[in-house]
Amino acid sequence: MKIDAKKYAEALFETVDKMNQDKAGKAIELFIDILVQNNNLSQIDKIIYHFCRIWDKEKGLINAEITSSRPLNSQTSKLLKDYLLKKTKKQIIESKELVEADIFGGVIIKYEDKILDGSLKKRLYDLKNAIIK
Amino acid sequence: MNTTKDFIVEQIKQQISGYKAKIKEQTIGEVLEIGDGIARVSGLSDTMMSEMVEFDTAEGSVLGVVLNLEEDSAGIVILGECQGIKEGDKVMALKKILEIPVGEEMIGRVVNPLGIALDGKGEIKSNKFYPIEKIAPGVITRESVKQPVQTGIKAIDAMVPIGRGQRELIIGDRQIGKTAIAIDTIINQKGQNMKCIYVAIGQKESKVASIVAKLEEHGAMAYTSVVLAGASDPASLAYIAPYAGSAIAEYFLDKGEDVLIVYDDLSKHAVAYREISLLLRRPPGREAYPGDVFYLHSRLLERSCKLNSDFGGGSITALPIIETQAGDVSAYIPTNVISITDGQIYLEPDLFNQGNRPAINAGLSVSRVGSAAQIKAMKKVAGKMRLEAAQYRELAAFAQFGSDLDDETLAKLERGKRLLEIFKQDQYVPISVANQVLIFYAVTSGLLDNIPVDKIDKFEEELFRYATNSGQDILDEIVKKGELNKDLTKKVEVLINDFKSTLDYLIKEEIEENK
Repeated sequence: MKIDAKKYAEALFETVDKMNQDKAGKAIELFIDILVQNNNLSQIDKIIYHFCRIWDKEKGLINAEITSSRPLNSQTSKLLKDYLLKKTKKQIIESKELVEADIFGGVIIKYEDKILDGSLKKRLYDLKNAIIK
Repeated sequence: MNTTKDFIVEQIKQQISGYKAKIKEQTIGEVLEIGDGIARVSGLSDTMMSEMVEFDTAEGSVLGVVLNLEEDSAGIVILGECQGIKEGDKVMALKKILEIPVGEEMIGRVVNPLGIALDGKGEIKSNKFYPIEKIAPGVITRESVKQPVQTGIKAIDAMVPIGRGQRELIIGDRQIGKTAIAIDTIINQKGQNMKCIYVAIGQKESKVASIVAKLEEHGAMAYTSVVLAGASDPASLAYIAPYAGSAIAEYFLDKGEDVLIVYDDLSKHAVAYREISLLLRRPPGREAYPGDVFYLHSRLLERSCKLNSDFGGGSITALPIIETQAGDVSAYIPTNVISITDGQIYLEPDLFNQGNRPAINAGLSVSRVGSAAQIKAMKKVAGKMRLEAAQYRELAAFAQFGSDLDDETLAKLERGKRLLEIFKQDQYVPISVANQVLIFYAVTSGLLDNIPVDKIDKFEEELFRYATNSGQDILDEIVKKGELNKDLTKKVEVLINDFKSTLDYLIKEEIEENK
């Protein structure tokens, strides 16, 4: 039977979960051996991708990307993160902050496959459309 | 000047202050692979089936519709140009099922299946939207078909009458006059309280342009709307075109109006759907069509209906067209559509080549609604005509072998010849019901028996002219009463005989010359 990347990732997660780092290191070595044996090493990128997704899901972790026109101060950043955690009912947040001047103002938050566009650019665009109508 | 400027500024200020920006959470996805008008997209975790999505590309946005939902990707067909879309482009879910603008604005226009004008007469501004896919009206809302659709084509109105709310298939080989029948029917709907929609699926744009020009010439665009998915448009547009036409029709249906919709043609629609299905990797079945081609057409044609008065009393009459290959009606799509519709008009190449146009085969064409969709006068004069025409063809084939024929057979043959002659009709000259009743009365009552067969054509034309000049009241009475009582029958007979008396010298002269 052919084992696909997702199944490998699931198996890896189940073995590694709740292990300490030493043990996990050994488990990973064995895992790589299996991949070599099955001639599946080329799938490693996909396996890593799926593994990250499974890990995030099981541990209640979200990845977010916050874009603003100017660097955010720590207070605003904390406010936004708390808001996201409350909204998504997750426990941990890993966020990346980007600065882009051409959104003029406000913030854009991206997480999973969702986007919350609160930028001034978008609002002006919407206003333009509303007036044209 | 100042006041108007102030006024405008004030208006703008008001509008802006009245505008409330709302931040909505949006679902996005990313293009994984793209090709042949199909995109596979990751993300989009909470999209619905047949939801609209928007591809954000460097060259503006393109619409798409979700057709496949898989474990961690979605199969999307692109409704438009797919050249600009790249791997990794953002895809935004629009949170609404595929819909198009509908309304009175559509009348007289040529639009694409997304409701965008193609005729250069400006944008279509409508604030009413109807979903493209809609479940057909249920049993309790319906009623049996009883009002006629006058096609203006003698052979159809006499032998295979079509009723409002019926689905009558037009089937035949290429270049045999299928579209001509549909267009003549649309032209004849002038003043009959009918909205018409012509859906061109995979047709040549030049053909559609000439059809629109013809409709305009006859003043038919005043109540007609054309939905066009041309031969150069992607298969996705051809696939949604008939549903879009149906959505436009349903708007008028909901207003209680009668609509006639022509799907030209459904074989190309099936081919477009086959293309999409195969690209989406759905398993192929017979003739490589996917498993749900039957449902593809049945759900479309089931949307034509006659509603009862509690539900507005509107109707949608459908004239789907199917093109056969070398007269093969037992191919997959033709048999499917024949079984869905309430009858078919079968056009035959042999008849066409003999010059019997429209080339309607009387034996194979049927209307399952039958005489319920004829006015009483027509029922009376044309009741047995289909049978007679069908019998004549058999008899004529048989009579070729024998020279000794009894008088009865000879009479039948002579009658049959005249009948076929009457069924011949030029394109774009629909004939009113009253005139049809007149000529059919003439042939069934034997009044035409002494007119030479090659003169029938001219006789008919002149009879109609004579009737409009000196018998308009009788024609009006036929339309008004809808039936031929004794009194009216007499009047009709007198009218025809009067006309014949003006002709007789011509005929006599010729007979003498022949002597």
